[in-house]
Amino acid sequence: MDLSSFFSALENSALSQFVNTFGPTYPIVESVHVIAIALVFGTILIVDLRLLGVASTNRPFTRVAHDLLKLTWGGFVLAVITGILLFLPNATSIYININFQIKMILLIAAGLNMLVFELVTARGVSVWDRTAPPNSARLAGLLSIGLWMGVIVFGRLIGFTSVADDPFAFL
Amino acid sequence: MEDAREMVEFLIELGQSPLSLAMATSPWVVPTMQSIHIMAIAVIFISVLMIALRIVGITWGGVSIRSTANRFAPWAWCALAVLAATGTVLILAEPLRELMAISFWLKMILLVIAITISVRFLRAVHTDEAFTHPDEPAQSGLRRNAYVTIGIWVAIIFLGRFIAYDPLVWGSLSPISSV
Repeated sequence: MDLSSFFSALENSALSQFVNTFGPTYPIVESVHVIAIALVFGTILIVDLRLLGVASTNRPFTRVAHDLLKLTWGGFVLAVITGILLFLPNATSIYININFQIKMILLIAAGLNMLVFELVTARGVSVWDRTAPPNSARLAGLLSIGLWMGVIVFGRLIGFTSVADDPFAFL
Repeated sequence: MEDAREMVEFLIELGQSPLSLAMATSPWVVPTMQSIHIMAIAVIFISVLMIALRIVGITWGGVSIRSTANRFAPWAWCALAVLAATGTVLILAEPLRELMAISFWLKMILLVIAITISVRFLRAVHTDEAFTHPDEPAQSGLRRNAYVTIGIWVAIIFLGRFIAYDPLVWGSLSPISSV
């Protein structure tokens, strides 16, 4: 089965029909998606601003991060579930939508940024936990803010492009 | 009814004004404003949530309620200003869709309630020394208000999204159904 018939099958699934046609299900799922985005972006912003030395500087980095970890991951799981539900009814057009593809690439980049930070930079956290983070940590924070803002912008743009549209036509 | 018709005509006229037309036909004004609006929603929602979760004792242990409020309230007010500015642009771009939506007006009512609760809370936080203790749990009335405030903001987010779907969500209750 090729990709387009796979997404076509998704689009015609019972779950997809339910989300699309059962009363106001679609706007309700969209609303939960916005709340999930607020949880993910908001908590990540607090951690990133701590990394940049802008806010929460009087609290150890590990305490700031630990306090928010569950909210971030809870929000992320919620965003993925609601995101899939929103994807289903328009699966065949969204998967070839350039804005959707850019959003997914930015998401992967944000994940890699976090992975590198966790595996490399955060290993020496005990040295800078209570003080200003090193430049590598600041860079991770800055990249994270930029990438997540990009995820939000291109996510919003998905609804504004038809398949054939060039998203950068206005530039 | 005459008033309602005049209102609709006014909104249609407003939507035809050069500024509104420029915004509505621009391919980037509405999505850009909506993206900034969503980021500001994230900032205000998480700021309110952090203060509320400190009050009920889930996050920011060891930090007083006053310090937590001082840390997050300025971010919430800045985000509110950004929301008002981007929201105004979005209304101007599509006045009829926004101002005829029951979701929009319910959202505004809840917003006024949320702001009133927050202003009263912040006034108490700055005068009452009970809020300076690093670990003291808050009184039950305050904890209840914290949960209510989170609920109001969740409802505000839902209603904001519902503006675009007003007749689908509210059926004949939506004034847009009869336009």
